[in-house]
Amino acid sequence: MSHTVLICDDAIFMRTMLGDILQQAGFDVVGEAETGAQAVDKYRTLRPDLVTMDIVMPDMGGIDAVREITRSDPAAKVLMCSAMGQQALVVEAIQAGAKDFVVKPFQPSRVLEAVQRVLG
Amino acid sequence: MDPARYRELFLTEARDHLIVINQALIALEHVPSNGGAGRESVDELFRAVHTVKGMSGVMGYDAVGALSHAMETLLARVRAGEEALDGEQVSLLFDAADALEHAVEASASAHPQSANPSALDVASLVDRLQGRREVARDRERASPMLLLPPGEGVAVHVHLEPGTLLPGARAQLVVARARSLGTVVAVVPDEAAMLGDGFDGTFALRLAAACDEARIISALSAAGYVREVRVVDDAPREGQASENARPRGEVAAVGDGDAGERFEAAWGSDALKAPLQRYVRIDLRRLDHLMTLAGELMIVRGRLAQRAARHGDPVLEDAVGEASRLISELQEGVLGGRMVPVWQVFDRFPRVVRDAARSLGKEVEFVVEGREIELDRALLEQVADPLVHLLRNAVDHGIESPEVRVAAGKRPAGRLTLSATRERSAVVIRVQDDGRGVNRAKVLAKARALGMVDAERERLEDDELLRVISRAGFSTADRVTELSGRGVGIDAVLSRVRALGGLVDLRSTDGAGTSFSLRLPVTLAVIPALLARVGDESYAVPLTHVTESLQLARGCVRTVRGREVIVIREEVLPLLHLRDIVGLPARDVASSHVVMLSLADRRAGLVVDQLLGQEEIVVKPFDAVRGAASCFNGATIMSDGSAALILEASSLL
Amino acid sequence: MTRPYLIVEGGGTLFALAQEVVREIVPARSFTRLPGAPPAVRGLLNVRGTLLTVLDLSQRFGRGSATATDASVVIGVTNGRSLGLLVDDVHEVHGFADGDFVSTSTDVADSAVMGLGHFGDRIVLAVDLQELARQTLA
Repeated sequence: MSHTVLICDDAIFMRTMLGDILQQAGFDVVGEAETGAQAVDKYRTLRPDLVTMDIVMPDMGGIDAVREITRSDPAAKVLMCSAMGQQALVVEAIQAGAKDFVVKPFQPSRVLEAVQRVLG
Repeated sequence: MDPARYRELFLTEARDHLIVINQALIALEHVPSNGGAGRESVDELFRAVHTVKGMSGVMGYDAVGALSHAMETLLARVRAGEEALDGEQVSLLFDAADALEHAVEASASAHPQSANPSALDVASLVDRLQGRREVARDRERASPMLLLPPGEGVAVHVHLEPGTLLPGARAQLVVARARSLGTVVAVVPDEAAMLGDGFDGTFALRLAAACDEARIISALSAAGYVREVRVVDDAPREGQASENARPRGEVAAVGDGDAGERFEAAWGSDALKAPLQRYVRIDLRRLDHLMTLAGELMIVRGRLAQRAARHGDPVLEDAVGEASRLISELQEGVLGGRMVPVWQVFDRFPRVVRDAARSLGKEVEFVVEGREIELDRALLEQVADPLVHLLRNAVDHGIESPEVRVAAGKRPAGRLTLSATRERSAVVIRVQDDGRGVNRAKVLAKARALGMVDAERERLEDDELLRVISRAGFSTADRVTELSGRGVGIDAVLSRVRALGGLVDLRSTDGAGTSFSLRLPVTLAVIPALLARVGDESYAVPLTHVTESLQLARGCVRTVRGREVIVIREEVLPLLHLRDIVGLPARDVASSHVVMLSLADRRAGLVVDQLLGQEEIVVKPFDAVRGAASCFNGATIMSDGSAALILEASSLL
Repeated sequence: MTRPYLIVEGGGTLFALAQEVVREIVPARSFTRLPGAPPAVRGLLNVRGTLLTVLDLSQRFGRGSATATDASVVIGVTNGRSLGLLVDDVHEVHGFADGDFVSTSTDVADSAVMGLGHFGDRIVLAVDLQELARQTLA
């Protein structure tokens, strides 16, 4: 059975792109979230195998969302999506429980490598 | 196999690598090659040169191959710690990079006889690069070791892959994985240092756990981008520093032989294969073609909708409505596929600025911000030249010589910032210097002499400043330098940016600097516009600056102090005639329409013969023609295939 | 060494254009007038969705304008910019050596003129398209 994924990003463009990369690699994208709060809600209901999480999102940021998600499920597998200049935020997200990160602009191969590392 | 196709691929890739080479060399001009950021630059340089060498080998381009091989050999020695790069060597590598660029362009050109670098130049550079081999062969290999505070458990030394993105965050992932094995009692360097620019991906941690080595290595390597994990049992012994600790179980073996081979053996071929940050390559012409088709579809969509409306068949209207929605989505999708980060163009500029500064004897610290901001590829390409112009202008006219700066109480090096920021549906690219600012007195004098302002004016505001200096051919340069002031002026920048549907803004503070902001649409715009007719010609007026349009009644036109005005709701506004602007003879305004234009606090009425209605139009740029009216910088294609010029209202007000 | 040139005719005069800068030839259709542009600039032509500035080649050199009903536009590309040249007729590709063109006293002031040459028993005016584009486009 293929792994289920929840994609969290406020930009449709990024959600679509990530969704395409993951779907083509055989993952099952079960949900999308535009805000941190939505991500936490959807994680609770969908219980996906993997979450991709943008760092900067409206409402509740990605880092707070990671903290919430890992609090409710310490085994949650969250992959952060970051831009070049956000190293300090990525470190914060790792300390909050994120398992790995990828840097924009995304290269499909790197995204998939990171996903394998997280799920591995 | 089509050799031309491979030639193009070679050229595109080699040009990318040349940018990397130049970037790395610029970085190396400022930092030593043997540590931290310098080391990273050497790595990048090496990889780029190595790849160019490999490609040229396949293509049989001998000059490129010889040069890149000589550069690679020197760099391999630097990496192996057998040599450090001094200023002289960096400058030699700059020369080699230039020759390499020439060789690349000439080799791949369809007419190899033109501008081929002389074999003599290549040979002499290769000699000079090789000459370096003899230097300090036995210089001791530097081996920086990290000093972990002594304590319980094992010391674990970790090297990340060279070129790892966000190495500090990656290191934290490794540390997090180590924590899952046991208590991590120390990490060097500390988190702050790892987040700094100087962090080269080498760090160590002390793990207080009775784990076996293999488990530590495999757990930590799984964090990704880990080149090497070494576990060192350095239980404190009398008088022994950790440098002397005996490594156990190194992941990679270090071989003997030539520096190049040794490097390959030590770093593994993966280091060479480490991909440059890049998108999937698609022939850009395909994307352009798709974009053009999508644009044409938009136009057909308009025509279909018009026809369908006339039929009054609800099923047809539904189908057309559905098709319209799909066409819009298709166009959005195509536009999205054309987005590229601005670094694809910005990364060429450090070399441009460096060379300009050198030739003018200026010291310039060049800062690029917002490299990841995305913009339509065609837009980005179109603003590259204007940006080069603005950057050179800033180095030439904005930033003062070090002596002048010091006398004015500034740092000797000027700061030049190129930044990209996203502001809602626009991307703002700013070129900002901390130089002397635009010489207002001089521009005012010129403006007076040209009759652009009243003779008694004392001061020009920033927007007026821009209007004066953007007059074609206007230049306040005292001398014609090699770089700028040759008549290619701000006017060219302005007309290009306007053609793309953008705006230019100038801010200048005397003695403190100048900034030019180019506000560009994120994608080549589909904009709402009013289509108007004068005589048998059609023109488009973007709705951005239109407040309303109305039928012109003879009575409401008056003449005030010799100027025609229109009185609407007790407001008196100047009138402009589109016929006059486009050089058609005047006619009675009886049945004309007036389009009310507004830009900030400036307003005017534009008289046209006839209004055709409102439409979403696809903006197409065209090359500006000398002498032509500057208010037309773009056009749209009408349903009959002819082009209608787009009136840039901001240049009329 | 000879290089290939495209021989075109406009307003009764023959012109030679270096073939390496000629990208394609399209039939002339209606142009969109560019207000304020010099008279020889005919305007914009839509070539498969791309707008091209078109110059009446013979009018530019004061030899009368192209009048043929089946006129053609020769599209030249230099330094990444395109310029269309309106001509009455396109003849053939002919090789010329640099020495085949002699400069003339009347045209010497125009830097877009490379010189005059012979094509059969007719005179041909060799034109530097790159210079022409530089002079026409801002």
